[in-house]
Amino acid sequence: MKTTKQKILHLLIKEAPNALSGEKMGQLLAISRTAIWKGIQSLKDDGYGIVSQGKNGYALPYLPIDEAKIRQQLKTHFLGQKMQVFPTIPSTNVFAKEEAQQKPENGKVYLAEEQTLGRGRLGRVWSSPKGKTIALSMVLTPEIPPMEASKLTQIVAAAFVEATKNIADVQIKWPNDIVINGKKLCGILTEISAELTQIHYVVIGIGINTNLSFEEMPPDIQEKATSLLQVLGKEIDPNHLIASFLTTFEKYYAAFIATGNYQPTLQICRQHSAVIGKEIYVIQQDSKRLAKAVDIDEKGQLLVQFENEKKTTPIFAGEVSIRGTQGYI
Amino acid sequence: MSSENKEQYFLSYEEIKELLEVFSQSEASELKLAMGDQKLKLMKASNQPASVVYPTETLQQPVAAPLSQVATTPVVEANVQPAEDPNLVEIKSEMVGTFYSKPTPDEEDYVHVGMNITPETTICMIEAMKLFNEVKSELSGQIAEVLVSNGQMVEYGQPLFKVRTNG
Repeated sequence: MKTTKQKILHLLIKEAPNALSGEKMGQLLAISRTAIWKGIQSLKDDGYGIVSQGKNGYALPYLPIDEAKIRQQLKTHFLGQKMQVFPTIPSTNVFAKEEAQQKPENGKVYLAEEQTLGRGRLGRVWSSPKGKTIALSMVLTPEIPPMEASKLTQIVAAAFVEATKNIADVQIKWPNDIVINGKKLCGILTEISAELTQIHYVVIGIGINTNLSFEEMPPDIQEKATSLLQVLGKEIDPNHLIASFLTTFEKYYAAFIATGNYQPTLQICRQHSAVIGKEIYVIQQDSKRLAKAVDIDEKGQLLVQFENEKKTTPIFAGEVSIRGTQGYI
Repeated sequence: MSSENKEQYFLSYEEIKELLEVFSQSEASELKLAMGDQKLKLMKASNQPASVVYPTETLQQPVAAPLSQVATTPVVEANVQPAEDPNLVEIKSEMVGTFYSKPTPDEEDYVHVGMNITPETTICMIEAMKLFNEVKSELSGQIAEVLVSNGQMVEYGQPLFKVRTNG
């Protein structure tokens, strides 16, 4: 049984980004305008970015994440069968980890339209204004050695490339970022809780810049990041993207877990690499060395050839940045 | 061990220690012992300290470890060093990567020397290819020494901490 508040939210989501008057909502739900007003206030308190548009009424001025819409398009067996959507949250990864600590639910997906404490590399914070980005975290409990778990990050990257191939030509900046035109579009963060040989749970977080306009980005970010809106020149439906990504990821993931087959991922990671063939800097601890990115090996490690060296060296940790680029990568 | 009796007997830390002593003084070069899901393998290489194989949890928490958990814990290998203090145990890295002593640069270290830890205490984070692994201590005791520094690259099996266990 839905509460009045949930019914109001449902109407606004259906109408978004257009406005719906309080009077109309009152008629549709057969309740007073005062009750509508109270419901709206309560939703705002929950963090929904509802705006009042005078005579026109109330609106969610963006394309909201809508679980029902995602489910209509989702073709998965276990992934996203349980889903939790937040208007705002400090961090979907932190929340998912807290829940997984109690009881990990394989395939549970957490979504948010705004993160106030996005966790990036080394705890760096990235901004995510309400309704313009997607924060997605998923909990997995694969029976694989912990050492193998780093492949999951690459499977996510490959699935993202595959899920967006019809709308954009994105590249993977090894190992965990999705870039387009040299700017960051999406970041992946994988966290595991494991013992020596056994994984308790994996939480994979993805931040996607969907409908963030150029003007909505701070100047220093404008140089480094972009969004699908900026690339395509039009808004995209986050629900379609989420469903498409989850469906694709489950396909690659299930194949990897069942057979250990990682080749489709490797192929995509190599074909759509933003670093292979480029001169890069390898930054490890306090050193920064010039190298050429040669390939990605069977373990998913980046093979580089350091300056003045003939042999190739696999890189599994540290940062890489591409030489001569102004932007993020 | 009868098949209808599901309850398993697990060696205690003391018993493994005793076995090790007897084994190291004996002429035998190898000793294998299997009891249900628990396996113990002792090997001697020339001039090498004896090597012991055991499910870690069984060794560290012989009483507290729930049966189901122990039964599914695969056998792992660790080296028992002839340490000057038998209560000092090394925690080793589970993977190759970058060692982080704190969750973010602005936060405090997970642990410090003198701190009491439980098996559930997160002691560090290891990162490889943007996979962040929060490492739990898996044993109780007190941090005696931190052997690596924040941001350092660590190898598989490299000792990270020395922990004084309660014997």
